[in-house]
Amino acid sequence: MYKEKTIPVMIKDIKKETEFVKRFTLASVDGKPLPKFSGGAHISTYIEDGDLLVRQYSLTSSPDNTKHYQIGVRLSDSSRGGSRYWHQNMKVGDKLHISYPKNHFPLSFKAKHHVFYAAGIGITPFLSMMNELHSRGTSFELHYASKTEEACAFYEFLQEHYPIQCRFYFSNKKKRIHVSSLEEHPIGTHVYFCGPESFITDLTESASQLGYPASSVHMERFTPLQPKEVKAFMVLLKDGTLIEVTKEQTLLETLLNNGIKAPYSCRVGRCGTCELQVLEGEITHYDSFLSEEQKQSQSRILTCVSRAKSAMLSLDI
Amino acid sequence: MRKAIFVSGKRKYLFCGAQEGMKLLFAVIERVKEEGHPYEIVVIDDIQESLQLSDFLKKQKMGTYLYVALSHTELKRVEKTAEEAGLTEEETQFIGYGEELKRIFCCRCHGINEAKNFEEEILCNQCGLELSVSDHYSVYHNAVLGYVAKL
Repeated sequence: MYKEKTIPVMIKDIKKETEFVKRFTLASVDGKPLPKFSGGAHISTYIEDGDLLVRQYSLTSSPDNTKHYQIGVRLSDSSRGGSRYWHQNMKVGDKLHISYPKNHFPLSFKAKHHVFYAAGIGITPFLSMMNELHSRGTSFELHYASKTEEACAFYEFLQEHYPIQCRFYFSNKKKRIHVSSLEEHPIGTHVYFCGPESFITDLTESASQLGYPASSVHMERFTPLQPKEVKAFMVLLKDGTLIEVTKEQTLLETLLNNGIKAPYSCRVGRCGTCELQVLEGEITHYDSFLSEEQKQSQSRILTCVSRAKSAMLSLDI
Repeated sequence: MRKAIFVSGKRKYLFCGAQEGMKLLFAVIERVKEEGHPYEIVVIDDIQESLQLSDFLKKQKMGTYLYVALSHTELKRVEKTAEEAGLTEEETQFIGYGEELKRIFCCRCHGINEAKNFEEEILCNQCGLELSVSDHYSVYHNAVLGYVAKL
């Protein structure tokens, strides 16, 4: 099975940001500097809790700080173990493994002005991005929606460091981010969205209707696109083996459970590591990696999120 | 000559050019009018007007699409102005007319030559090699590649 290289780290500090968000500070176990990263990068964290819990979190610290990394973890209402473990079991001094930083949400080098739209814990990737832009002296602004001021993670930090650039929208004060805000951005602006699915969809559709070029619009989802209706399907492997992918499992999980050395990394349809050739069958794509053209060709699948549309898929593995 | 093509789905269309260039944008302007999209026409007939274009472009909002039709000699400068204002290839069309001086990169000595747009073969002014003018353009050199014309 593909296993990426990891870095052993230790929890140095835990700070409660809000009722549901904790900030964790990580440092390497051997005291060596951690790799530098770029704004918008994330790490995968590996926790052994009976099963191996692999989760991705944006790095919220300064990209130049190699002494420690910071991540912000929100306790998810529907936690499948990851955020619950971070909130309830993780203590200062605990050790775990993390991946090297990866960036699927990088800053544009062409932009004249950067505008970030965050909802809830969607703020996390923007913290390192704003840090990078601030140190470069590049102009940016943040529009940040939260239920209340108390539930607004990193509120004090943002007020202290970027008071001019930040605008907050608290729904208990009847303030909401309106898509019309996109009408105000000058030529050369790049916009970045991070938050729940509906938040991203509304903003992306509005930007497209206004005529924003696709390359000026960037987004990061918490979770991959969700299938409306999940169906079980069969998979035919190269050696003639036929296996069933149940409703409850992803194609990747099924392959791994059957002892097949399928490649993978992010597990959220972003990195493309798990891509496999499809020899026969129709695919419904749920990833944000393949281009529209590649998706239409129906010849490759990201096994971590995408599923079969037809009753069977024949895979080149 | 490159033709202006209508690109749908923009909140505003900008047409910039000299009187002669406007003729080349006529079909697209008519279409924009017919479909009822907001638009603005800026006639650039002297250098002063082309210098003011920079401030005008910087005031535009995202979702604006720019068409420029100018003589090849003036077009390059306006292309640069638009790029500096933040407009990308996806938001612009540049239509040139008249004589164009192409820059030709010699494949042997790497020298830069200039040729008129109708010339298919030239002699490199540095090394004397006979060059066939290709359409292989380099953004880095702002020149097209000149291949060996005769082996």
